[in-house]
Amino acid sequence: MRTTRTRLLLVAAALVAGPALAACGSDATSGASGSSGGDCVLKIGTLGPLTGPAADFGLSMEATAKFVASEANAEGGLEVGDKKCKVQVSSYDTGYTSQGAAAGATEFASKGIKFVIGPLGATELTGMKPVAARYDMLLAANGFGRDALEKKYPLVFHLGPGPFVWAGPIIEAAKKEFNFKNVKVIAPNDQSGDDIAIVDEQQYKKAGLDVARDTYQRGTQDFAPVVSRLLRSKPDLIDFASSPAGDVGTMIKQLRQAGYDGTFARLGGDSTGEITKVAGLNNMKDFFYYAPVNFGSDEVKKIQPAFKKATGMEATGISLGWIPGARTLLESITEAGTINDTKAVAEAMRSHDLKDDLLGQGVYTGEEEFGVNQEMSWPFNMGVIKGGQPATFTQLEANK
Amino acid sequence: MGEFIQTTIGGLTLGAQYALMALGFSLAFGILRVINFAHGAFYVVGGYLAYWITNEVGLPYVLGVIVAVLGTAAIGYVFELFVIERRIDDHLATIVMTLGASLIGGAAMLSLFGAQAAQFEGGLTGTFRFGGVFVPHARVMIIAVAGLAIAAVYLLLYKTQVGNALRALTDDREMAVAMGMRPKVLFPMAFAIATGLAGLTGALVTPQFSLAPFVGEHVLMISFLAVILGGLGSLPGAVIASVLVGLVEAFVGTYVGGSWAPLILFTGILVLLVARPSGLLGHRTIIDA
Repeated sequence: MRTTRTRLLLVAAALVAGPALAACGSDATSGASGSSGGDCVLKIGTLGPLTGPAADFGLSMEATAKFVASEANAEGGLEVGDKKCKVQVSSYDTGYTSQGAAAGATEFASKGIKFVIGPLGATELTGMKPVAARYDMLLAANGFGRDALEKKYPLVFHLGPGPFVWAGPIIEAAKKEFNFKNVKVIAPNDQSGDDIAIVDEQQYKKAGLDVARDTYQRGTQDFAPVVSRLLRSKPDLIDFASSPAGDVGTMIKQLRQAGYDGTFARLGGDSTGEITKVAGLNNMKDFFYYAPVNFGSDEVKKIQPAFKKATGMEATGISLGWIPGARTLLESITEAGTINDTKAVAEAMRSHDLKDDLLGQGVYTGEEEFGVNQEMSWPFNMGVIKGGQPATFTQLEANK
Repeated sequence: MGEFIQTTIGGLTLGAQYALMALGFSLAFGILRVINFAHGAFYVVGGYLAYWITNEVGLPYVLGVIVAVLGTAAIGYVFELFVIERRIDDHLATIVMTLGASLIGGAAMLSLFGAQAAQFEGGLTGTFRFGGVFVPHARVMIIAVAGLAIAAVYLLLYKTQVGNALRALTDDREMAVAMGMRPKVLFPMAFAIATGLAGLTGALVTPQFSLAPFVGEHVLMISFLAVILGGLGSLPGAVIASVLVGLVEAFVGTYVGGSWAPLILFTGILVLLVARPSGLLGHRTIIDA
């Protein structure tokens, strides 16, 4: 057999471009939720990027699901009607893609899973919603997309507040801490990047600031050209919105190398720990961000060891921030007294009082932005790093 | 004017980094005819070895770089000798093998170091400034090392007996073996040099960007791009293509927008490959499989 380099090249190019490789599903357990032989088992699905550059997000979400399951199991199981149901968690790796999340929904459906904690990305949620709706699956999701929640998908809830809720209050609070007037927002040029960056841009405008938005290609490694472009407009605040943590850290490092002396913001999902690791605390210097929890609070300090024991990983801000929403799901299953009727559980969720030991009193938001009031908005924080010192937190309330 | 100079310097430094990334990839293909999909994984392993020596063991960064080069070269040597060499003439098999090695490498780093990026600052943190132009010290070092590596690989291949033997094995393996050359010694060595270069790149470049288990995917993409554009197997072609890619990325990224750089870059490459399918300095040949 003879083969040319061209043929070899074609095969190789197909492999390089093959995003399917990233979406490798995995599931450690099998069998549907239900009662057999007197044993009641509630299977909760959780999905997100468990490998790849965004694995930190997916593993955090998986850990949240495992933690609330462990809490319920420590009580002998979740009370559902007159039974105690053991809660099992089934994980799926979406590769942070829309098609991965859709495949995950199908996988869960084939296992009879009706309740899902996740997905977490805007594109994942977009891909998963139609498939989940087909199987009456209830999603306690996180995606910050502008159409994350919709009237036509009544079984989709937000585990925590989105940028519509927290961006405005954080910007107002940050104006008192830092001096900025000219803002540049930068994020990747895809749905996950755009959706949050556009909301942030609108909120800066509302706050009376001069703001411009720019984009870059997701996967960029060297940000030198982006840095030159950012510096051209001489901003005194650069907001990275939902850019991946590694990208943000690298940009901060390169901006400081280029002599930028202004303030940074990250009004997107919280991954300050990883950003700091990449950029170095000295380069962060003046930085404010959306923080779901206050790491200095007694409640957070108390829960951290238990979280690590149950999940095997250190609690991240996002994993802790998702706990009240995940608990709400389990409490609503108890309230509805069913592990099969997702509509009844959704109804119980809507009438839940959203009171939680970890974050306090939450409220439902979303009517104004999505036309549906199914976003669980817990009290949140503005994290502030000033002068390269460790973060301090200011608690803020949701704009209902 | 300052911005133009800054962009040019930025493009050249970007090109030098890409050249360093592409060099090992091009070498593996040029000598062994193996498209090494594990190149990005070796880059990541090199980065983590340097990080481990520097941050965990507490030794100087220079030693970390040396360990990264030797460690990745050793892994590459063993991998070629015991895995690749058994199916060296089956190009599809080697693609699958290296792809498997890439996945194993990424998963291993994930298990050992976790999903979060490592805090790795490397050795050089300062910046040269003149006028409105800035060049980080680390980038100057990378350009210097890239230049030395390119020169060393060129001298090895074209000015030594080992290089002659390697090229002879590439041209006609059976004839070269009949002449007394030993592929089971030379091929693992060539592959070790290629993976050692990937490790060197990882150790030098990851402190400037970020170090996480899967950052090698982009490196693989850039290396592949530079090697195709330059002409498969052509080291000078890969270097020229790397610099071109760096300059295009820098100028488009600065003056048009970060999102436009890939569009313009890949459109240009597409046009060029239609006009010249063998790349800038490549030549079309037939491989027996």
